[in-house]
Amino acid sequence: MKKTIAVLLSLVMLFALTAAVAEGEFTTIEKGKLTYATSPDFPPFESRDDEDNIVGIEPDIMALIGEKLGLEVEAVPMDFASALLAAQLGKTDLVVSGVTATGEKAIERSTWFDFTDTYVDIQQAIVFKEGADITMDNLGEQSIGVQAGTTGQDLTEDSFGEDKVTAYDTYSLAFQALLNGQVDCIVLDDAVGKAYVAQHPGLTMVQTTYDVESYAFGVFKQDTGLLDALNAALQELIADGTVDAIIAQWYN
Amino acid sequence: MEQYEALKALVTAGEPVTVWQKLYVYVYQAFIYKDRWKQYLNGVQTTLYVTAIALLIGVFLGLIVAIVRTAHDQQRKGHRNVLLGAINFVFNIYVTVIRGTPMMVQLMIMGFVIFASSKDFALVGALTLGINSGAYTSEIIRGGLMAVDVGQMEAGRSLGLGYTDTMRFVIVPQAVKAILPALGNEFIVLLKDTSLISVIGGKELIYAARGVVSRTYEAMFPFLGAALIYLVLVMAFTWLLSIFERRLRASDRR
Repeated sequence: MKKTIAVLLSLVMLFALTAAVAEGEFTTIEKGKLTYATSPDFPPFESRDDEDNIVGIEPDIMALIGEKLGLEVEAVPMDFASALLAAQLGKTDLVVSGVTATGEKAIERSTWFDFTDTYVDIQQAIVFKEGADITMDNLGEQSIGVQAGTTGQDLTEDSFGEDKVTAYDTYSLAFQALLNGQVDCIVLDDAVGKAYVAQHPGLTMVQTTYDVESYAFGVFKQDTGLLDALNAALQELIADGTVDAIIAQWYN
Repeated sequence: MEQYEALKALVTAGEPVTVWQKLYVYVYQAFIYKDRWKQYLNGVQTTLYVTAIALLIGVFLGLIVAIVRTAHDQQRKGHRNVLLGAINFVFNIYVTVIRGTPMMVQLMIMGFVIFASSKDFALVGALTLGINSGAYTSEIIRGGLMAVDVGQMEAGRSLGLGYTDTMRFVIVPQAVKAILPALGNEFIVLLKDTSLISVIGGKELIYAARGVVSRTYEAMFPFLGAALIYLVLVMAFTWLLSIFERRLRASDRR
């Protein structure tokens, strides 16, 4: 009896082993599909067009990566804080939502998911109504709006305390509050700030003096097969200038 | 503190630790590290503040609406009061609109459209919740008032009491006793609905919990903690209501 069980077990294990190898070098949560969580209110990195497609720099890069890896790519929209959790819990393979992968925030984040190589640099900026005189020096005297879970929230809360900062689920709501005058300014990534300023006449932007940050994709922590494959594909796209071209195209 | 940081470093590095050490790190970073419990405490304060204001507004609005609508519905045939009819019509629209639209949408409209210039997000939230609660409370109270037998009003009036006095001393006390369980239900829903005001920037309990989640990337303990706090609040509330109910039942002969 014991023998039979042992034989059966080893057979099962052998089968499992071959199955894992047969699937290829990497595994995704859904076979043949690469899913990523994203917060599509972050132009030019990702936003929703009128047909409800998620478009922008990161969807473009993801589509090309999917092509290289032979995977179907699917974006799963949710708010930013939830998107980070989705990749951490393995609801999606990735979080692709302008995720900062440098500095103090990255150390904390890298406990929960692996980061790919970085591909773009940004800095925090302050967006406010024209006519208001807001700079890094008097930022502490303003009421500040941020998106929940962003580096902007952490930096401003650490500098000026939680009472000064109001976190909104999405940038759409934060900007509505800014236009209403419910907050004096919004602290966010400069490329995104620029896109919002372009959309809303009467707003203006200045840079902060916070450290420059870099974006990367956050990958669900499992075996490093997927991470390596993603990095290889990403590096190819960076090397042949595709990533820069996509960024340049969307920045304008 | 030092013990936490040492263990946290181990967890961050992916070193093997026991379940209890991991649990310790999670609980510590969710509630104790950097005095995060103060954030929850501030959140609870706002939650209670919003609930209290909303409750007052809700009961006040509900009572007025219910009395007017009951008075309108219980007029004798051929004695229709035009003014009462007009007020009843307005209140009818209020109840229909508030009950017919989602709480979340009402919050967005109040927070970003009607009170677009207000910076006191908690107060706007309390006002919205109060107006919302008023519509539901009014129907509960109306049910109670309508349930009191017509004979009670007739008896009161034939003993020489005016309409207002009969209402105040005869009808309403009886109605309140009957609707107390339903009213308690509505208050509990109201307390829990305060969690929605984080949408417009109200810094209540869930806002605090989510803030901690977004800093630690650990969702379980902050949310479980928040759920536990809500549970305790609701249980305390239920207990207070049951005391009140028992007092009202003191003269019951059954």
